Order: sequence, then C-alpha cells, then structure tokens
Amino acid sequence: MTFNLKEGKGIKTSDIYASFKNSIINEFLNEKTQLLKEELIPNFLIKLSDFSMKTMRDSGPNFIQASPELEFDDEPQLCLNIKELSEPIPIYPNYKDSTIIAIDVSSVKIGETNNGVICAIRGAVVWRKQGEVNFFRCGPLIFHITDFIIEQLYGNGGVKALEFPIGIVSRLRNLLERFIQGNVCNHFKDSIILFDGSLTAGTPDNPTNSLTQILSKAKENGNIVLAISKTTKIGLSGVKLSELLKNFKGPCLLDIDESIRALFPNHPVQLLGKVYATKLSAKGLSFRLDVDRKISLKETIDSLGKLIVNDIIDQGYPDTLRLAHILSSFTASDVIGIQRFLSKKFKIQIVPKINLRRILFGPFGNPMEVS
Amino acid sequence: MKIYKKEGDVIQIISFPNEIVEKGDYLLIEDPIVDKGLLVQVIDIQFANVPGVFEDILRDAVLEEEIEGENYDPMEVSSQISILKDTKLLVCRIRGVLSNGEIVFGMNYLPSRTLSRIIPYKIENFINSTSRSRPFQVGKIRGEAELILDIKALDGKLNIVTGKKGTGKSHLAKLLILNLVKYGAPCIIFDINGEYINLNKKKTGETLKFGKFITLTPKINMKFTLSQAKLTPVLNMMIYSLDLPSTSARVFIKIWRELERRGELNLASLGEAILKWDCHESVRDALYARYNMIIESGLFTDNINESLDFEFLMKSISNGGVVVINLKNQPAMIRKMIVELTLNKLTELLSNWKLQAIFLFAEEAHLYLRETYWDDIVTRMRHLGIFATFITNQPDTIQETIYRQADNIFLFNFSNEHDLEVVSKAAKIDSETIKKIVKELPPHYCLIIGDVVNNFPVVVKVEPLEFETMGETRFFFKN
Repeated sequence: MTFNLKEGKGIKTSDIYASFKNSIINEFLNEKTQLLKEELIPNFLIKLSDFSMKTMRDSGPNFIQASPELEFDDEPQLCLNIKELSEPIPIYPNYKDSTIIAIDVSSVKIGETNNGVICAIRGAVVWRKQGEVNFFRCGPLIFHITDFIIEQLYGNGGVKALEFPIGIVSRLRNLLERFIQGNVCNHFKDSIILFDGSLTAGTPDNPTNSLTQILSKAKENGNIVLAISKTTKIGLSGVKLSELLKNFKGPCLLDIDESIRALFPNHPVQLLGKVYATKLSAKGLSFRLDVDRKISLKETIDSLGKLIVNDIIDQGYPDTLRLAHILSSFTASDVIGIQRFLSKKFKIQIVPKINLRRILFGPFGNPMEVS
Repeated sequence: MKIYKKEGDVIQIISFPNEIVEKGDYLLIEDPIVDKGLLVQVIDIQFANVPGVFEDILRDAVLEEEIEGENYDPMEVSSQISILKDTKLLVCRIRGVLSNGEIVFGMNYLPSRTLSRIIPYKIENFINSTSRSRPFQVGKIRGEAELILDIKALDGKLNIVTGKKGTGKSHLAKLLILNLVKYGAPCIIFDINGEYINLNKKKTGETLKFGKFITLTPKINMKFTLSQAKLTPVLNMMIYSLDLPSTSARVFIKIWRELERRGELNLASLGEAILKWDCHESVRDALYARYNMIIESGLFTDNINESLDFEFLMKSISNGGVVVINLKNQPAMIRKMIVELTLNKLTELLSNWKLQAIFLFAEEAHLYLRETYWDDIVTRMRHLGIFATFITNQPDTIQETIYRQADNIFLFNFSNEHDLEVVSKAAKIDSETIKKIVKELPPHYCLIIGDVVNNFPVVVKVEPLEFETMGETRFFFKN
C-alpha cells in the first residue's frame, strides 16, 4: 500500500487492486473461523477515517443532527423508451453446486459540523455454500468530510468538481466496496458473485480502472459477476422495468444492452457490463442485470440457472444479496448510536438541524408544496 | 437520564442500561434554574421507542436464525448502538416538589428538559424521620436501605394487608403485631388458620421476653357464664349470628331480665324459661332452636371456675400483649358467634373506658364478620378505640368504602386483573401505580401506601421473622 496521509498523496485505484493480492481477507475466506479482522477493511480507509475525525476537534462544540432518512443513494436513474423488444430467453435450473457470494456497502449521513459533514460507511459479504450461509461485516467507518479528505482523495490539484458531500461519500463507499469486491473475486473460484448495482464506471467517485481489474480477476478465477440493480428505472413505453417481464411465465433474461448503450456516450461513463433485464422466479419482479461483457450469453444463462438453484429467490431477488443489504444498511438507531458515540468521544453537543422553512413559515413551511 | 415527556402528573424519562432503576424507586429531577426539584416515583419501566430499533431487532433475528458470521468494528461503535436497543423509558408519577429541604404535595411545575439533572433519591430519608418515638424496621428498600416506620402510624388507623396467597401477608401482620406489643399495645387476633398461636416462640424454641401472649380456643378456655357475657352481647350474637327475629328478640329480653331478677341466670334456667314462657308457639320454637345452638357451641357454661373473665383478660394485656382467638376448625356458625360476642364485649369495655384501645387483626374477615360490621368497625368502633387491620387474599371481599377509608394499605403481589382492579380503587394513590407495581412484586415484597410512609408509596422487602410462623403452606411432597 503506497498511500501516505502525511504526504497528502492521492489514492490510486491501482493501489486498491494491489492490496487484494496479499490481503489477509483471503485467509478469512479460506477458513471462516480464523478471522484476522484488522485486515478486513483496507488500512488506508481506517487511517483516513481516523485522521478525518481528528479534524472534528477544530469544528466547534456543536454537531448538527441529520435526519436518519438521509441515506445517500446514487444509483443510476435511467428512463428509457424502448419500443421494440426481442423475445425473453428462458432460464432453466442448473443443478450443479455453486457458491453464491453477495457484496453490499452502505453509507449514511450522520450530521453536520461547522466545516463539514460526517458520514459512515459499512460493508457486508454474505456467501451461501451448499445451503450454509455465512457473513462478514465491516464497519461502521466514520469520516468527517472536509477539505482535508478531498485533498487526501484527489491530491492538491485533484478533482474538486464532486458534488459535496454526496460525491465524496460515494467515493469513500466505492473505495470500500471495490476493496471487498476485489478480495472476493480474488479468493473465490468458480462461483457466482453478486454485486449490488450496475457495472457502470468512469465517474470521479467510481473510476473505471478498479472495476475493470476486479472483473478481470473474477474471470481469471472462473467466477461470474452478476450486478443486480434494484432502483434503475428503465421503461418500455412507460412500463417500469420491474413489471417488464411480468407476462413471461418462468425465470427469463431479456437483452436491453443496445437500448441502454445508446443513451451513454463513450466517455467518461462506461458500461463495463452487458445490460439485461432479468426475472429470477416465476412470480418475481424483474431487475436490471449487468454481466461482464467478456462473459458469453451462454455462460450468463448458465450462471443464472445455477443462481436460482443454489440461492433462495424471494420475489425475484437473490437472498444472499438481500442479506448483504440488510447487514450493511444503517437503521435510524444506528445513526443515533453513532451520534452518541461521537458526542461522547469528541465531547460535542448534538443540536437539531434548523429547518429554515419551518422557522419562516411555521406549519405552512411544507416542503411538499410546489413553489 | 433525560426527561422525555410530561403529561399531567406523569413524567417519562429516558434511561440508559447502565443506570440501574427499579419499579418503585424515587428520582429527583433537579432544575438549577428554579432551584427546586420534582420528586417522582418510577411506576413502570419500558423499552424506549428508539427510531429504527425495530429494524435493528429484526435484522438481529434474521441473522441469528439464518446465518453465522463475524463483525469487524474497528472504531467500536457497535456498543453504542447496542446500548440504544436497551434504552429504557421510565414512566414516573410526580409525588411532590422538593423545595428548601421540604416536600410540598400537590404542587407541580415543568422542569427544564435540557438542564435538569435526574438522580436517584433516597425516599427513606424522608420516611425514616429521627423524631419517631416508636421506630420499627419493616424491611429494606432496594435491597439495602432500612425502612424505619413509626408504629404510632397504626394508632387510631384502619389498615389493610392484601395480596395473593403465599406472598407474605401474614408474615407482615405478625411483624406489625410484635412491634405493637413491643411498644406496649394490646392486640386481639381472629386467627382463622391457627397460625398466630406460637407468635411468641422463636424458631430456636426460646420465648419472647416482652408482652403477654394468650391463645383462646373456644370450648376449651373460651367459655362465658351468661351473667359475665351480659344481655346485649348475647342478644346481638343471637340476632346477627343466629338470625333471631326481632319479635323473638323482644321476648328473649324479657326472659333474660326475669331470670336476672330471680337470680337464676344460668343455662338450665334459660332453657326451662323459654319452654314455659307465655308466648306464641313460633316465638318459643325460634328461641329454643337458638338456645340449643348456644348450648352446642360450648361457648357458655354455668361453672364460674371455667368461665373467662374477659375484662380481666383484656386488662392483663393492656401494657402490651396479644389475645389470639383460635378459630381454626370451628364451624362457620360458631366462628360468627365468637366474633360477634368478642366485638360486643370489646365495645362494652371500651365504652366504659375499662380499656383504652385495642388493635384488632382480622384474617379473612369475610368468613366471620357480618355485613353490617364493616362500616361499624371503621366508624363507630374506631372512635371507641378498635383499630382494625384486615388481612385477606380476596380483596373483593372488602368493600370499596373500606378501602377508601383505609389509612394504610400494604399491598403484596396480585396477578389477577380483577383483584388489581379492586385494590386499585384504594384512596390516596392513583390506580396506575398499583396496577403497574403490584403486578410484578416478588414474594415478600410489598407496596406500602398511606400515613405510615408519610404518603410516599414505597416498595419494601419485608423483614424476615425469627419466630414460628405457622402460616406456611403445608406440602405433601417434601423435596
């Protein structure tokens, strides 16, 4: 690991990938009972968290409470108008044993200080092998997002165009997510690895390089990465993606790659996967599925056949991914707990957020109102 | 601890798991701005409704059932999140305002939510007054602090001890009796189960060095001559216990006076006179039937040597002692006759100032006390000097009016909703306190309400006794 906070050197995505190879997370995954926890989160993130939290002391005695519902969500929102579709391809069960691994990372805003925003991130890996389910959860890691963090992430002349603080939080979340994804792809062999979201990259918070390397490593180890997105809005003449394959009787796959690709310019955002709509159970919902472009359609259908046999599919969604999401996500009490932790550790007073509309207009300050 | 909400005289307080608070405990909410404190009592402890806690618990449940795994929390934040799940909501009743070292009742104010400091308050400091002249330890509060009451708080008062079977009611009654005797008070006990007969004997076999303890057993050492019993007690016994009609009662008075005039007031003459008296056949039959019952009761005798001088007996305990009237194994009718006769005799002695006052302990009084006596005891007899303590495991056998007039109530555990509903109507305290606290009291713990605790309801673990209790449930299986 070359990252050095004192020198203020920026984190390169190649550094992240380099850390996969020798990570002790591999040992954890080899033998689930032998955990070396200190290596389960990249050291540079722990250090970054630690250094950023030290800047709390300069930010005054007050800490403005954030509403717990303000969880960051930057899933891509695409609205397509697909006029003609090809016929969905049926997915048949494949009864060959396969390990299913799911990864999810969540972030949440904890509050505001005089010179920044506090957020927390947490990651989870869940794997199901021959019916047995295990998990590993790391975090929460707390960050005080100030100019200091931006400098550490992007260097002095780095990107400053990120939307503050959402872009920074996304970057931190992405760093942890890619680290865990990299370790999983590096360790597991001949498995199905489920990512939450899409295989889209090329934004400042989500660089292309790291994802490319992760996918490459996965392929090298015989793994198939399936990125399943819950929130992407794709419609067929106004029909939601979740309803798209409703009329098809069984599990199926629909190629919508060209339609999606048409909406994206080649630069900077890149679709590293081939985009499908898929339905994994007869009465389930359909979701956007991104599969590594280097994986053939046959391999994709084959892996989906294994997924529906080796995992539990509830309402069309894989259970391991559901569990990973449950494990990583922050509840309101998590947020309150972290606020309490901060208030005790840094001796700061938690104050409620001022609602300007409420102050000015009282009960008439309804933010739902169209101005 | 922090104030969460105040509605009327109920204050809700948020408390963290490391703050040990139990139901019944007192807290002082100190408000530095107004320089006074609100004294509140915890009546219920609930989980605080922390936002997101449902999702947290659901997540824990899912994880526990479905999967195994490890958490790595480098900043050790999880402990703070876990604390939130166990955060408690203390539902408290305002009991008074502490101002300049004095507690003011009925006063109320809104303390500062942000500045108030909430601390446990030792209510025993107010109850255990050093000025008390006749102190006795009733038990311990919070398992450590001694609760010292003044036995004088029972003087002239009506007390109720109630709770379900096996919770320690009789035990407390014995503790009260022994302390009354210790301070020179006379007591009389209607002992329905024969459990007070060894009250003066320690478990080691030793006998108490204070007070006089006498057990009266009907037919054995509790017999009266007619002249000792006197007309009014005997007549009342016949009317109220044996349902003698009023017409027959009038004839009975004439017969009694005639026999008195002739100097022939004895059982044989009474029977003979009833048979020969010039009256209607139905009156004669009614009187003779009651006469036969009197004879069968064994309560009366013509032998002066075996008769009981009740006045002398009562005087003998006037400086501290107990008369236990053993009603065990007595038929219901005889029990009622004994109680009627005893209360009449006591009333007579008190009316004539031959007795200063007496503390009456009545276990399961509904089994022998006639309906009209309840009100009589709490009104007329109380003024004469009979200070009753009713002990029962069936609270609905005591009328609501009695509860309302009770000065002190000692409540042991009740789990039955109906019983709780009955006792919650007790005066001097809100029904919610009783329902919330009493339902969860362990055996030998009791909630004391009333004058004896300066009107601060207190949960106390009753002091163990070193005497033969005799009231413990008998079991078949030994182990």
